[in-house]
Amino acid sequence: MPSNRAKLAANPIGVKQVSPDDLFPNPHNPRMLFDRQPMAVLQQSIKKVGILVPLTVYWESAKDRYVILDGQRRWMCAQRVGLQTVPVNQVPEPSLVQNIVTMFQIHKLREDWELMPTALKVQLLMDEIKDRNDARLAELTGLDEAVIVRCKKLLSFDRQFQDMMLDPDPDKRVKADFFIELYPVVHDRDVKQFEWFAPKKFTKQMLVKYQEEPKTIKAVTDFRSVKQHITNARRIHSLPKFSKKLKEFAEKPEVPLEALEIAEASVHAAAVALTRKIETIEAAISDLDTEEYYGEEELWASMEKLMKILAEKLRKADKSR
Amino acid sequence: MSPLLRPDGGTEGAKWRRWLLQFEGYVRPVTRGHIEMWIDQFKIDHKSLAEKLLDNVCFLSRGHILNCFRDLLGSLDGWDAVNAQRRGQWFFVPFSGSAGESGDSMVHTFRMANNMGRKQFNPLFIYRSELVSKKLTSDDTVVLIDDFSGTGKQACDSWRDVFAELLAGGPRVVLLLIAATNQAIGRIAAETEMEPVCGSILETRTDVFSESCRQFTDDEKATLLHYCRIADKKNPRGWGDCGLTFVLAHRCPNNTIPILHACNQRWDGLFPRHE
Repeated sequence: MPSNRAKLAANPIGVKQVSPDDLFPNPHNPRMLFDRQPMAVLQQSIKKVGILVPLTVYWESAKDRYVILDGQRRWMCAQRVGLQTVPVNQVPEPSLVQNIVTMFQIHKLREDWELMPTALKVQLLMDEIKDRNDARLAELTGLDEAVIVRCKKLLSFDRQFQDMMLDPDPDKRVKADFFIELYPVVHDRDVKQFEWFAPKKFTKQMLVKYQEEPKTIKAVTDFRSVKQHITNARRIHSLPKFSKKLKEFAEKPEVPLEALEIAEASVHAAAVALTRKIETIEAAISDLDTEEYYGEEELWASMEKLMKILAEKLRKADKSR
Repeated sequence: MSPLLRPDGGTEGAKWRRWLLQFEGYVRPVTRGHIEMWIDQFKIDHKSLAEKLLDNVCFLSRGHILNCFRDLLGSLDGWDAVNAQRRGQWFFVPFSGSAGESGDSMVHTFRMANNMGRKQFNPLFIYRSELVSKKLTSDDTVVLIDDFSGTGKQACDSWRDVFAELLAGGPRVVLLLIAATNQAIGRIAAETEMEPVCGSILETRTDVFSESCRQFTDDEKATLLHYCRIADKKNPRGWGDCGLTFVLAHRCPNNTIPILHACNQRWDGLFPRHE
């Protein structure tokens, strides 16, 4: 949203030299980790020619100190090579939202970063600008639209689950992927209608199955199988039967994922998949120019074999016409 | 008659009464039978050392923890139970654990200790995930509540990984602890913007293996370490090599030496950390 972007941009008010010791990193910087190699290159350059592009800073009135808006890597290198002063471009103190937007735009999100803090800031932005549109939020923050969608999924979970992604103990911290993979199951239109289903309770039960022995959910991707079972059951109109299975799966930590399978539904799913393959072969064979392929003996032999198999299967199933 | 008051005579009886009274209220009740079984794990020549170790356990009871939380909150500048007299916004947040876990139960204990159980105080107690939406400024105070810090590493790591970003508006951040080692306090103060406020500070001499610990001779320390290796080969001196003999009524820290808390096929600790 260009109008928002313009409104939130910080305006320069002057350039000066300050000691690196008088500067502080921006607490809104999404992460303090920087790749070592590019840092080494930058450090070499600064050692040779100094800092050519001034850092962007603001004066934090509450704490009487300069805070870096842009240029944390340059500042870190300046400290390492022992520069006495660095050039800074001072801009007015940004509002909280301006600061967050600036940090989002400067620092690219890395895959290994915890997503929950980012999600919370996206929430703050949505509340402030009263806009939840994925594309506009992506444009404003510089995040991929897919990341915005992931953030929104995390924000849909109860606070207690959001806190689990913010646990100070990395061993106890639940990865965002768990909730992102669980999302389609918890938000499935049919699952939500099951009379016993309560999203909070179900999420807790899934956490138990994932975290505690015998760990009947072995990987977060297992939720894709759960979703597939739901889809299969829906196709053969067997949702009441599936509801019972899912309830038992949720309530009993020892019940394995395979217990969700409804044989008829799986057969149907397999039949659908095979039909698609047959349709592909059918189209290829129909398009085949017999004259052009006349000499391809292996092809004709395999077609003959296929024809015999098909005839046999049709006869056995009493489906010959 | 309570086993505690059993008149089994003299100093022997006084010893049992002392231990049972001191360890009363641990999450898994400590009985005379438990203590006897624990001592029996030591060779006959080492049983007196085991008893000496028990005499040197620093046990913080629930009552002590409640008093500690009351005193600590009372000592915080700007706090007042009356909303209008408080300086800025105040929020109390569990530092570690998730809902229903220890951090959460610490916050509950904190509320009870400070008579803040009533509904009117509910808005002061928030989730970590609510911090960003509070748009905190330097006028505000966030009190992160936890029980113990042994090395300060987890507190510093979590500040960097989680809290610095959630508390980026620059509020005053207090890390309120029932107890911590002086090493942890120093590290937290140096590496984070949290102000550690602590009920009991455990000095270096509380590390039973340190040279400054005078309670045990070098030979006794070596013997204790031998048993600690049986109890936990990986961390015989306790997590972070803290070598503590410190136990909180609701849970023994993992920085305490493993012969006091480890429960496995080789050892049965007196203060198990888990049910």
